[in-house]
Amino acid sequence: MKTDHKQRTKTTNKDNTMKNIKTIAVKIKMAGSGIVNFDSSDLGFAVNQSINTTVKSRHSNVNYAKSSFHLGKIGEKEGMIRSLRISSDCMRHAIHIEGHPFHTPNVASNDVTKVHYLANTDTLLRGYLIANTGERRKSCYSITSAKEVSGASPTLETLSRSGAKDTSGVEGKGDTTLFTRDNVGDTEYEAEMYIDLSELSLISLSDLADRRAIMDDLVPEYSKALSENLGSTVPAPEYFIKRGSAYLIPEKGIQLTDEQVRLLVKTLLKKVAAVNINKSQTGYAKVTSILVAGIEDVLEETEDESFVAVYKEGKFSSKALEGVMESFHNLYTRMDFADAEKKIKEYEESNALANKKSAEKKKAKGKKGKEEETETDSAE
Amino acid sequence: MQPTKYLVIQVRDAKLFRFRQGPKDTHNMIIAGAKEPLKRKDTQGAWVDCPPNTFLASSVSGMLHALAGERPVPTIRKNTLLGSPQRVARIDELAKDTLVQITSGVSLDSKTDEVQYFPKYGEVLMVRKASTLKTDSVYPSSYPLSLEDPCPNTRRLLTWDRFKAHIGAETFEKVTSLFGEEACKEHALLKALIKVRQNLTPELVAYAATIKDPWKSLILNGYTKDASPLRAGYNGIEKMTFRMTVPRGKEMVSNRDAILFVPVSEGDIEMFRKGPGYATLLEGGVATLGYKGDFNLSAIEGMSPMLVANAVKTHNPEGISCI
Repeated sequence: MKTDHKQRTKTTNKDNTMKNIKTIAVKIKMAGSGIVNFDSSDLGFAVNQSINTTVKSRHSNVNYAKSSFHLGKIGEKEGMIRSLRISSDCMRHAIHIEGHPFHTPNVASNDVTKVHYLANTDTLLRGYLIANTGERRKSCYSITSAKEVSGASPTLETLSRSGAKDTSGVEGKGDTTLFTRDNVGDTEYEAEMYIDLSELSLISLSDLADRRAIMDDLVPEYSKALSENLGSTVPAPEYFIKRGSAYLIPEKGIQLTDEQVRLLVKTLLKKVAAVNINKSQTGYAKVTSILVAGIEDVLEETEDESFVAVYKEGKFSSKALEGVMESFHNLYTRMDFADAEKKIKEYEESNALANKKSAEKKKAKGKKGKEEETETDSAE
Repeated sequence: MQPTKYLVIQVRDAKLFRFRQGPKDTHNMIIAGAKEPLKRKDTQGAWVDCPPNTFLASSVSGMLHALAGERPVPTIRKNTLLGSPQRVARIDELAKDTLVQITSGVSLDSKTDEVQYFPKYGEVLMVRKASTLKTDSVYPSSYPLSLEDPCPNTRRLLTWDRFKAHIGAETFEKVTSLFGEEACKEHALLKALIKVRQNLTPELVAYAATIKDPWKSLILNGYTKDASPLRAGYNGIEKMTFRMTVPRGKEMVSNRDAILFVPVSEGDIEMFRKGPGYATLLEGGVATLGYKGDFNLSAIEGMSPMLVANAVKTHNPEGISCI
């Protein structure tokens, strides 16, 4: 067994010197018509002060579209400019709408439903927190809100909502209302997304890093369900250390194989390509193209030329993505089991010592405080 | 000495919960692992009083940790990395020296032409941080740890790994040899303990008597003497001292875009080269290294510094620590 572990560490050290992508930068372009994401009427305060607002309203029953406000210039006039956007929450919801059509706390009450929920690719990519047990996983990607780039400026449209007729005779009652809502013509949006491959590739089973993905006794069922979802066997849990980290504390976890990581990235981008936010009354927005670039050196600026189109004109190109993901290798170093146990033990001991010291300090502080109190009492 | 290089970080859509404050605010409530079950609208809520033209240094420090490929350490809630490595001290220093320019939610004063921040400009969103959130997402701290406990979440808190970490490797080896092979085959520790209790041997009873409570009670009786939940990592036996912020419900947030300027040395730059190149700031904010726009060093003079320490207000100052 020992030689096996040694061999493994040797191979991973070799990988360390190879070129390796850590992050995938994604540019998303969307096109649509009308508004798909609304904010509250409180936004009116900022909307009315923007220099590109065409129709202003003093009423409170206005449905404003989600917007951002920046300083800018229109002609010679300088001031606050309003631009439409689709929030990142709305985008995430749209990306995972197939896997997570609704949210329910009931998944945690039964082992079988919970395991299948956690082993689902959508849950794995989106991240989760089960508050009762503290099981959590950070999302492997971040997405900005999609900002309107064609310069479309919304106008206010007056509408009515008819409801039940009120027969009480009291004025102002009844469900029929007159209200205004933002409306706009054709729109174009742009969003950016970053996929962290190190976050994606490790499923933590350790309390040390405060990110335990699942409790130990459910790991066999979880691995089985995950293997079924990914189409290949998930490796057994081992100890790992993130390369280059200041913390030399081994973390127990499942490290997905390079092929499984590639498959998950492909799945995620296919989900992004399928985004079509459709609001029956107000409009739609759908993804038209996806550009992807692998980032090796994070301090070097990624030029526009290094982005490759993986989705264009309704076609998803797996080949283009494979080209980007070619130089990806795992980002963690496996640790020898015995070494890891030893390091954890050392860490525990130092931790226990530090805890003991802080407890003694607290005790001493408490005593001092009490003594001072009694002294002041006697003086009085 | 004036730093010669600046790391430029672009932040988009960083959301800060700042409009509802005070003890009645259940949205920003810190879920405390108190000895007693936590009541809703408890006075243990903590909040951050951050002006609209800057960020909190601790938030930026967390972001810089992630950008450098390190694990961010929580400011308010306790974490498992208690004793030895805490935050990377150098990153904390960098966070304090960082300058910020907020670029969203700003306007020009019509008379003075000065930049004006909208303190009350906010975005309404549905916070669904935890998809499996019940009405009160408190850890089941008040439940006794018992083999007969029907609560599935409670019995999971104790695993073989934790059991070993708590009682020590030597005692663990002796105890497991006395448990018998059948019991040790069980993946769940508590299922194994049920088997052990069904066939208690005199050797095990004699040896268990030498072990300290609550482990003695757990092995012999199936429950802990003082009904403590024993939820702890490797820090020893603790009574639910973990804290956790769980925002939820419909909420108004302050949405900020910003450019951060971090004064760095050559060594710091290499530290950031290790990281993934992007990180998150506050709720859902995307921070990326590098900025393509015009970069004018003289513009830094008019920027706001980070808000450092003393910014977390609470009715329960115990356990709150700021950098």
